[in-house]
Amino acid sequence: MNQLPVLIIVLPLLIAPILLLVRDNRYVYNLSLGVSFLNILLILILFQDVYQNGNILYELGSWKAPIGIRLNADLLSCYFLLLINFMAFICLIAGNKTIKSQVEDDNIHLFYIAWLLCNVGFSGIVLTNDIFNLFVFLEISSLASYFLISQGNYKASSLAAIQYLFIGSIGAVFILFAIGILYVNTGTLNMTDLSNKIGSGSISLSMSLSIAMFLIGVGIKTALFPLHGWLIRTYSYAPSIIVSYFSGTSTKIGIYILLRVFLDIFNSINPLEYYNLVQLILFLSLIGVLLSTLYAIKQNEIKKMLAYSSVAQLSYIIIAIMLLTPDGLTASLIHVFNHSIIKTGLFLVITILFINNKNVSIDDFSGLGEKYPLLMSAFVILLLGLIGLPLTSGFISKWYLISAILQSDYWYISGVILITSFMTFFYAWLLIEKIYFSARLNHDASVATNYQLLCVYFLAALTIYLGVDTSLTFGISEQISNNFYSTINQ
Amino acid sequence: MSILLSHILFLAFGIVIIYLLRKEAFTGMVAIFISLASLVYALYIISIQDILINQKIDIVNIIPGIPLSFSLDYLGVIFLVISNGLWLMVSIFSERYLELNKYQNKPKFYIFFTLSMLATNGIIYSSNLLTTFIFYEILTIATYPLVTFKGDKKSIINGKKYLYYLLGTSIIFFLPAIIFTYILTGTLDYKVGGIFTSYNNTAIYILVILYLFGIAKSAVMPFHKWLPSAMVAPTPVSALLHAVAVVKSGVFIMLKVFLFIFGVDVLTQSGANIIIILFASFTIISSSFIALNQDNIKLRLAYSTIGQLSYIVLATAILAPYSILAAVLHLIFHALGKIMLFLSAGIIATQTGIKNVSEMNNLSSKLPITCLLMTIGAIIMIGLPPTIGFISKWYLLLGIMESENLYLLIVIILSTLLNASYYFPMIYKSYFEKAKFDYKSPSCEDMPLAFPVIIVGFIAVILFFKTDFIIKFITENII
Repeated sequence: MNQLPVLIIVLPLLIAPILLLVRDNRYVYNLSLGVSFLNILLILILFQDVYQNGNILYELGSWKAPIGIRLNADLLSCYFLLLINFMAFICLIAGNKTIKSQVEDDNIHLFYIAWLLCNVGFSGIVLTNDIFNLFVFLEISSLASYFLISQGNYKASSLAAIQYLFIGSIGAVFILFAIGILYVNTGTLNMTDLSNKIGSGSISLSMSLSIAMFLIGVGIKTALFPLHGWLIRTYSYAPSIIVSYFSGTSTKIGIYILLRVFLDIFNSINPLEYYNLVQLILFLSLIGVLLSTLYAIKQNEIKKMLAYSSVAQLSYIIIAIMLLTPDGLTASLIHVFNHSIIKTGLFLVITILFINNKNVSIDDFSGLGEKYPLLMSAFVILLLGLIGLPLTSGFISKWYLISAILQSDYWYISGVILITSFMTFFYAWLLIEKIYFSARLNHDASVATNYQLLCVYFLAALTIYLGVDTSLTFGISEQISNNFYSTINQ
Repeated sequence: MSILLSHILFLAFGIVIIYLLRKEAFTGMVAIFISLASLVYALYIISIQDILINQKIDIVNIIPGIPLSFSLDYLGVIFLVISNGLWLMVSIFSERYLELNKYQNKPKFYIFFTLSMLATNGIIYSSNLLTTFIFYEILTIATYPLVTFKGDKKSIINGKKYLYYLLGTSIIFFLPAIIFTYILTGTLDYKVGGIFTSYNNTAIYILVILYLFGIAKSAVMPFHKWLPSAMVAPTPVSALLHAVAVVKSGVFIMLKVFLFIFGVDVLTQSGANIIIILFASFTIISSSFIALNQDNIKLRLAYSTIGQLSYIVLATAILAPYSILAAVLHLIFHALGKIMLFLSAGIIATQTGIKNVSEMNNLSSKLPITCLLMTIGAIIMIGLPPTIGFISKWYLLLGIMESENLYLLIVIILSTLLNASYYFPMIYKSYFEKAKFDYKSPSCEDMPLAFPVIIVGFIAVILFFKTDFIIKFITENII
């Protein structure tokens, strides 16, 4: 039996308590970085294996599936797994200096432990084939994130953490109830088994309750409008390095759960179409895109601006999924990857330059183009990617998104998408204008280390690379969505 | 390596060189050298065009099935000579112009100027719509720093307007038009006769409108406002980019889309060309009326450009062989005439500080050569013999007769009258009206500044007697 899936979860889980014993900040950092790197290697091997030979199932303790717990590494899992761990690794490299200055000395080793646990949670969610385990991993990652968020060095951080705790718990409770109802109805928790047992019959009342609860829980996780408030506050008050990390991972996990639950587990009864849920979610997402883009334009604080931008981008992803066509799914998966890279890169620049600022306003970027020519050109490339100009990965996302919408039943919403995508240009351009066309203020932007700069350059280069060569993102996304829809059509 | 790709790479390399040197003193010389080399490239490419025509070079597969790819076609050959030839003239002009007007930060100017020309050449070489779109966007972004080059508040506001118009229309109309075309036909390659094998009229109507609005660089109303905004830029930028490279790229893409994406048959059979004719005619007339009321020389020229561009669009949309000939001829001739006008305006502003038509009294006594050149340019714009403007208008009229859209004669005649009535005061004032006040600076011509304009004027005059080879080239290869 291939041991890779379980190793990816267990390895960091084992290292975490060891770190508690090591305590020395330097070793703790190096060890977490090492584990993170090792994980990426393992994932790459696993990815290649899955890509060539199809799903890899791993029975924990060799207990057979419906009774025992099973891990299921398919292409979708691997895609998200790679994304999450890659982002974690990049943020770890770039975050070292920031974490040292933002987090209290005594807490630093705890911070890294929480980070590893959080990542274990994320990896677990995408790997598990057991829906209750999905909930458990979700809780692991949430609990760890509460700690991570609370470590921001200003007062509102704790408040943000508590809010995140409350809202996150509410979301989790909904998901837990939904799982409970499913269990009562079918007597199983294994996802494959579930999807078989749900069958194709009519939907009972309790089942529809479960669907509704899943939707709310996942909606909170993915910051689906109007459940997006927590994301704005978290992104504004959490330590910036955590924001960089979460912007590429935590919300994407929500997207993963959405895909898993609604397109995989429930695929036989197709609840999204059954209750006209598609129209509802599309409608909400469209309003979400419009409003959050408008809010983003109005923001003077960059973190809030980018947070609203994230809500808008996540709505694009959800809209693409809700088209319920293979093209739509492909577009959404491409955008998941591209947006993570762009947003993490943008937040990283803010993290690097403004360690000590509580609020980073647009004015703080005045004239930075002269002071940091290279870093700012990377930042501008990422912004252009966010706008979706050609030769950046954002353009590829936009191309497939619009192409999918035009070919679907909802072709008329393409106007909204195009206009909001142009509105993205408004707020991105505000920043570019400040960077290059304003006189420099005498704010002290902090000095970046080479590692940090390298991370940003790498992400910017990746933004361009993925905009020119799409074989990686498009190739895999297309295969995933074809797999999905071929099973659905059977 | 392909010669087309190496031309583009050479220009990119040139930008890097200017960036690395970054010396105020000799970036101008380097830039002139780059534009000269680019012209040599263009001429060489034309000398071996028979080998290059319709040979596609794929560079990278951006979207599976749609590569970034270059090729050369006959329409491109014409635009290639015009843009690169005039670029050299404007480079020589701008070196002296920037010096006399004491502009700072010359390297920045030349970097983005070269980048703009790289994008223009990229548009010429594109062999499919996606490649065109990529260079179209690069051109927009690259010209922005030039529009805002003065750096004052007015230019930043205008620059923003410029970007919002051009980027906005390209994102909201042009991009979906391209994607929709791809969905309908499964290809984006330019092909003689068009790529639509089967179609329904509604789709064609929608697409035509999307392309018409989306390619806002051709300044067809209602999305023309960016062009007057762009006039805050230094004169060489207005001259080369906003009378030749940028706007002609727009018209060039329009021509290629109408002829090689839709194809003449599809447009005539669906009747979609009527939409284009209506918008273009409206633009021709109303821009002339607006131009009448502009006192600022550059703004008057800008509105004149808007009208002249729509001549080309209109001529294309009539779809008769003669009118397409007129469109291509006017693409060349308008470039020559308008660049003379803009550069003359630049000389006048530099030497005397005059920026408005109402101040041009008796200018010819101070700047005799410049005024002569301006007059030639103006007559080309009006379309009177013995200038090349007359030739393109002649074929346009023939095309209209041929297509039996006789009501368009009214549009042409009315606009010619309007053209005459806003260009004539400029000529009349500078020659025949007495000066009311003194000029601030030296009153004689600056020969280094006038030299490139004289050359353009010379070519424009000679060309009137030598149009047959161009007409032969166009009728043999394009129509």
